[in-house]
Amino acid sequence: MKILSIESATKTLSVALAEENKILALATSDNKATHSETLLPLIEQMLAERNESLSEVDAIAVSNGPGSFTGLRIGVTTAKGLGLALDRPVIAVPTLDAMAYNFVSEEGALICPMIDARRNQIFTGAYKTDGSNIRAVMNSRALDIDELIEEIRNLQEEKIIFLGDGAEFHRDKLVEAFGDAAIVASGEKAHPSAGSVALLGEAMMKLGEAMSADDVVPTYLRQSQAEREYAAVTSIGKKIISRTLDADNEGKVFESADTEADIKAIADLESAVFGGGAWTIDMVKGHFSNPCNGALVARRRGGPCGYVLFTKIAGEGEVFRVGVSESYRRAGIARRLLGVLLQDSETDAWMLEVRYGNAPAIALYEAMGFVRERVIQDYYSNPLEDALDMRRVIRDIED
Amino acid sequence: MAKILAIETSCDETAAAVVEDGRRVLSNVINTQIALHTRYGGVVPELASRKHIENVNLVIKQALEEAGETLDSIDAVAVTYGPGLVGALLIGVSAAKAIAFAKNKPLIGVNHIEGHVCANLIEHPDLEPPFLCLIVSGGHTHLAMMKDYGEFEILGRTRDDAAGEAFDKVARAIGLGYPGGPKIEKAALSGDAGAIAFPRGHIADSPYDFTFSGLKSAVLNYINQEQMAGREISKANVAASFQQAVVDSIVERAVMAARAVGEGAGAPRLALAGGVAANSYLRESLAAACDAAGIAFYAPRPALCTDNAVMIGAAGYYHFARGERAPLSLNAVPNLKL
Repeated sequence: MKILSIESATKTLSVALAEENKILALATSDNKATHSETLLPLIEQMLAERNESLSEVDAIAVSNGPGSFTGLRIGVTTAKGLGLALDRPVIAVPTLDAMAYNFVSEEGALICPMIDARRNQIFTGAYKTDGSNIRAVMNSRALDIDELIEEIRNLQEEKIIFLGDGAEFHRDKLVEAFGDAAIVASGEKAHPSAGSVALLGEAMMKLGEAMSADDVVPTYLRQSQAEREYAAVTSIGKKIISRTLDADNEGKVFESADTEADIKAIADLESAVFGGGAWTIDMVKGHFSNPCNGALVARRRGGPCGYVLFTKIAGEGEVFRVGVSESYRRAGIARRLLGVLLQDSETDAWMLEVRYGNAPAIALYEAMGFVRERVIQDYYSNPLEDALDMRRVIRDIED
Repeated sequence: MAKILAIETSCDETAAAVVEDGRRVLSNVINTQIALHTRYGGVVPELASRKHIENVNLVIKQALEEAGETLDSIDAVAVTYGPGLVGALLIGVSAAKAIAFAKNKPLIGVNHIEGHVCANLIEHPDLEPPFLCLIVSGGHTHLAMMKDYGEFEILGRTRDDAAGEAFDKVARAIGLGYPGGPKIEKAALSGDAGAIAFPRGHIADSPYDFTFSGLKSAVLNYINQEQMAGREISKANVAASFQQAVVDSIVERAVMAARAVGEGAGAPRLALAGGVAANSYLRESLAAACDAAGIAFYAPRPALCTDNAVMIGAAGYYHFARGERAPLSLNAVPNLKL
C-alpha cells in the first residue's frame, strides 16, 4: 500500500511517499516561498526523482491540525483535490500525533509535542509509546505554558521529551520546571514531518480510519476570533463589551462589563470634551447595541478618563470618537488607547475623520501611522468645518 | 470544442461550473454562505475559509454531475486566483491545482473582475470585444475598455470605497444589516429619492474616477444630526436618497465614457458587471440613460452578476484558447489588479 503524505501545519513544509511502514521518499521545502506556491511542485519533483506515478498511490495522508490555519487549509485542500481526482481515500492524521510518532521508539518516555498557537498559547498533547504505537494520555488542546506544566507535572513522569516550536520557545521554563527529566528535542525529529504523517497514516488506514476526500476538514482546536467575540457579546446580552486600559498600570488591558456606569461616564466625557458636537447618552447607548461596535476605556483611580469608540467589520475598522478628560490631557492616554486598538489582529485598515483645524489630533494620528486621504468640505457643523479623512492600512492580507 | 471546469471561492460563495467554449453553461453550482455571515454584519474571512473547505469537493462534484462530465472529459481547470480574501481564494486555488496536477489537465488562473465582465459573454452570445465595461461590486468600481479577450484598459476607478462597500456601510448605519445592496434596494422602494440632498462626489481632473466615501460620510453625518436633534429618521428616505446619489454618480460617468470611447468606433457599447449590477434600480437607470444617448447597453441577468463560477469558466476559456497556462506554483493574489 503506497501512501502519499503532506505536512504543512507549521513553517516547514514536507511531503513523503511510504509503503509498508517504510519511507520511500521525503522532500522538505526550505525556501522562503509560501506553502501554496511550493506544495504541488514539491510533490511533482519528489515523484519524478523516484520515477513514481501518482496513479500508483493508494491513499493520501495529510496532517490536519492543529497548526497554522492557512498552512493546514493549503495541505488539506490539496489532499482533498488529489483524493477527488484520483478517487482515493484521504487519511486525516492529527498533527500532534504525527509529531509524537517521531519518537515512537522511545519506550517509557512521555512525549509532549508543542506547536506555537500565538496569543501566548500552545497546541499540545501528551503521549506514551510501546515502541511501535503511540497512545494519547492527555486531550489535545490549546493551553498556556503554565497550564501545560501543571498538567504534565500531574502525570509524574521521569523522562519527558518536549518537541516543536512551542518547546523551543519555552525551553527555559520547561527546564526550570522539570530539570533533568526534561529533554527538549532538537534537529529534524523536533518538528512535524511528512515521514511520520505517512507512517502513522498507513497504520490508521489499516485500522479503517481513512475517509472520503469530501469529508476531510482541518482540526483547528480553536474557534475563529469572530465566533469568540460573538459568543462574548451574546453571553452578556446588550452589556458594554469594552476592553479597558488601566492608565495607572502601564496600559494593562482587561475585560470590562460595567455597562451603565461606563455609558454614563463616556457620555459625560463626550459633553465635557466636545460641547455642542457631543454624542448624547442615547447615541452612546445606541453604539453598544451593535455587536460590531466596541470601546476602549482608560481608567484612572477606577473611573474612566479617556475612551475610543470604534466599529470593526470584515477586516476594516473605523474610529468614531476619541476623548480624554481635560485633567488627563498630554499624558499619552489617547496614544495608548489607539495603540491597543491598532494591534487588533482582525483589522487590516482603520479609518477616521477629524476636524481639519484640530492640529494636535491630526499630529497624533499621523504619528500612529494614519495618512491623509482627502478633505470633505463642510462636514462638521457646530461650528461649520471641513473634515480630514485619514486611513491606516496595517497589511494587505490576513492570515 | 473545449469544456472548462471553473472554480470560484474569492469571497463568501463556494462555486463551480462547467462551461463550453466560453459561452455555453453546462452547469452552475453555488453554495452561498450569506446565512453564516449575517449575524456578524459582514463577511468574516476566517469563517468563509472554513466553510469553503467543507464544501469545495461537493460543489465541484455536483457541477460535473449536472453537466454530465467527469474530470477526465473536461479540457482544463480554471480558477479565480484574485482579487479577494486570501484565505478564501487559497481553497479554490489549492483544489484546482491538485485536480489539474492529478488529471494532467491545463490550469488557468482567472482574475475575478475579468470574470464578472465575462458574465456578459454568457448572457449575450454575440457580444464580442471591444466594448466598454462598468464593473460595480462589493470590492470594485471600475470603468474599463475590454479591448480583446483578456485585455483591459482602465479608464476610471474608485478612489476610496467601492460602490458595494458604501451600500454595506450605509445599510449598517441605518440598521438594515448585511448584505447591504439588496436591503437598501428594498427599503428604497418605499422612500423618496429626493428627500435628502446627498452629495455626488467628483474627482478633479479625473472625469471617470469614482468617489463614494464622502457620500457615505454625509449619510452618517445626517443620521447623527437627526438623532442629536431627537428626530426619527426615515430609513426608506435615507436608503432611496443614498441609492439615487450612487446611481447618479455611476450613470453620469458611464455614459460620458461610452460617448467618448464610442467616437470613431461605431455605436458605443456598454456592458455592466459585478455584484451591484444585480441592483435593478441601477440597471434600469443605466438602460434608460444609454437608450437616450444611443448607447447599446448589455447586462447579465442578476443571477450571473453576483459571484459564480460560470463567469470564471467564460473568462478562462479565452485564456485557454490563447494557450495560456498557469504553473503549479500559482498562488492566491488578494489584491490582483485587472
